[in-house]
Amino acid sequence: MNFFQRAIKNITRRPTKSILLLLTFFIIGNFVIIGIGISTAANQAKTITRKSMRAVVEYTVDYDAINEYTSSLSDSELEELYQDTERYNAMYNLTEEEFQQFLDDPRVVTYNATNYYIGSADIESQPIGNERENQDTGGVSVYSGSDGETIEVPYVEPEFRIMTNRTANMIELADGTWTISEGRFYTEEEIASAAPVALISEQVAELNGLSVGDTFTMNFSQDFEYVRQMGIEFSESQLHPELEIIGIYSTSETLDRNSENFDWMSRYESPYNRILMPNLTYMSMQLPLNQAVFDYYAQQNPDDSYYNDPANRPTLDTYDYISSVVFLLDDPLDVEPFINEYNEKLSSSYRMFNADNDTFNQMARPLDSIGLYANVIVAIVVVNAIIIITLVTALTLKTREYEIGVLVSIGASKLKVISQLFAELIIIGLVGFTLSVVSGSLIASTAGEALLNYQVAVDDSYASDDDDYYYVSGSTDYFTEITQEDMLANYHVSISPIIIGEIYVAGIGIVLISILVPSLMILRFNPKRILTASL
Amino acid sequence: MSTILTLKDISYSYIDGQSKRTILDHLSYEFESGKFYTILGHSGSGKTTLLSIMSGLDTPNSGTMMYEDKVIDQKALHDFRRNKVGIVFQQYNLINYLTPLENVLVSMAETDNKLPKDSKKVAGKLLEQFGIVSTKANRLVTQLSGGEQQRVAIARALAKNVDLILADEPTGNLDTATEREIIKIFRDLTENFGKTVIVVTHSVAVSQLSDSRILLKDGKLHDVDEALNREIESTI
Repeated sequence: MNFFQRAIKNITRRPTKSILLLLTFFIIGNFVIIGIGISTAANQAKTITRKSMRAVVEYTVDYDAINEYTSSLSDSELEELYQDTERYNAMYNLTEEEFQQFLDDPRVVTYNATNYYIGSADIESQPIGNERENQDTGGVSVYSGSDGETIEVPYVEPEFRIMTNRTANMIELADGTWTISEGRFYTEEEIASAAPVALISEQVAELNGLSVGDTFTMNFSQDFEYVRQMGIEFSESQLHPELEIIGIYSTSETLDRNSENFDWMSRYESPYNRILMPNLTYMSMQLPLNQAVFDYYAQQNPDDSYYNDPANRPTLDTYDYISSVVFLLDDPLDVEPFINEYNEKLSSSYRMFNADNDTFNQMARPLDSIGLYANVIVAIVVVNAIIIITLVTALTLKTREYEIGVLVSIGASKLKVISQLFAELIIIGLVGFTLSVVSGSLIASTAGEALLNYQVAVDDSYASDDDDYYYVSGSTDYFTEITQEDMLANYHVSISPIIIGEIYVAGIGIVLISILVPSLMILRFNPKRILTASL
Repeated sequence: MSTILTLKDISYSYIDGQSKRTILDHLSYEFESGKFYTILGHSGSGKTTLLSIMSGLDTPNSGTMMYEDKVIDQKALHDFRRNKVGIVFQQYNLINYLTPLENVLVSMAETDNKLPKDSKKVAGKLLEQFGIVSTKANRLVTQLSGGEQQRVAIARALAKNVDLILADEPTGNLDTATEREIIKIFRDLTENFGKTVIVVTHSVAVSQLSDSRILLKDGKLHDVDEALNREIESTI
């Protein structure tokens, strides 16, 4: 009769002790299964939601940090900074070397080194169909002229978003949001040479009867108007530079007419009203304006050393910069580790990573809370279980000293005695945990839902107005909009085979730790005591 | 006859408060195989300590114990208990959630000695030899009388097929009739099966049925001669 058979006999022939221990394991098992079930469901809901989001990370200039720094400077120091073009650009502009350090990371699929502008072109934009686009804003743009005089230019809302690329990469093309339905994307050579090429959407092409190889002109009349009012003239080709359509894209993005923002949308916010061109192409079109403004101020301020230094006159290189790069990673779950990893390696305190983590984390707050509660409950239960089972086993051992003595005296090793004790606990534990899997599965779902509802209610009562803050800018368009309802809809407490496996592993772990003290007692047991009458 | 167990210069003492208490004092003795020994002694003379050393449950402060020609040192104690010696206790010390048959089977499982393959059948027969019939052999041991439990304990000690049986006051809790039966079993084991039985006892009557009577006195073993016999009969 080996130790395992003895363990079985001990369990079946001492039913009271076995049932009490079974009940202990059953109760522990229920708490653990409910806790792990809820915690897993909360994590899964977050993972599912996160996976449904675009895996994008923006590397950008940290304007808040720069503002903090500049506000700490005296006027003279600030003036010094503005005069030091190299230092100024190093703070405000990303260099290619800066963002190329991330391109070797295997998690990076592609990236957008893209600037975003709004502007007008001499072609029709795709209507949105909201109330706003038919209203005249009646606004004016105000500029300062010489001697403090103000120049007012009637505001005409731009209809296109101009996306300019510094490299021949587009996240939208890589992830299939956009496809080139006709023609092609521009090449690196075209980007480097500021070639007058552009891509437009299928909708705009159709609306204007344009196709690949056709040309259209941009319209800078509005942008240049205030300078013209200063008395500077521009040529027709400068006001309406021509671009060749080399590609037409189709997009899977649509306008959400049910969106809260729909009524306030401008035409340039439509995914169809985008014009793509190389960054230098756009800058070359803006260069006459920038040079004219510089010349004007140089003329107006003959004593100003900055304007009198020809090196400071804008060239194409002056504007060949970028303030943010958006990386597309291969897995949404990589976003956080990616940011955490590179945050520690950032070479400049004026750079930062941006992702839709903040929104995500805010949405996930109730799930984080209940996940935390569940984990705390599991931890408390497991610790208490270990203490209770250790004490119960140690006390039981006291009444079994003679049995241990007999076994040792007839030649059983102490290891075998410990093995019998372990076998007894593990058998009862497995039965208790198996029963708890059944009952715990039934309770976990209800308990999980109740806990979530409670937590959402508590969370709402603490929510501040800041939580509703929502902003739109070029780069953040890449971030997926999520709602808390979407995330919470992914929360389903169910007991999967993996959780059941975890329960059994937890059970074995509890038994293993609980048996440590009794095992030490057995190892220290002096078999001579079997001969004394005190046992 | 050959020597089965040799005690050589065994000493055992412990510190009791401020003073050192010597229990066994350079004790030496040779036990021959196939004989029935009884060890007598006053209460507190060290009988239980001596038995715990002889059964491998404890070790002396100094001295050597040998089984046949082999020294039983600390490393060999487990093997000695497992394969060389069977112990019978005053309190029987059967495992109370097991049946007599299972108690014997536990003992048979904890030895490296060669035993017949059908251990259950052999255990049943062994118990029958000691008067534990199959109906009783399959009850819990707590349902047996004291005498029956002690028989099971003897069967358990023998089941490992060892040549040396040590017993600690095996009849201390039994009535006179049962005591006689148990002693008869011990005699039978030595006479018919060549086993060596060493019984520690208070009972002069029991000792008179043994082949050799030894008195533990002043930490040493003394063969009982006429003079000692008179002393025993007057004091123990």
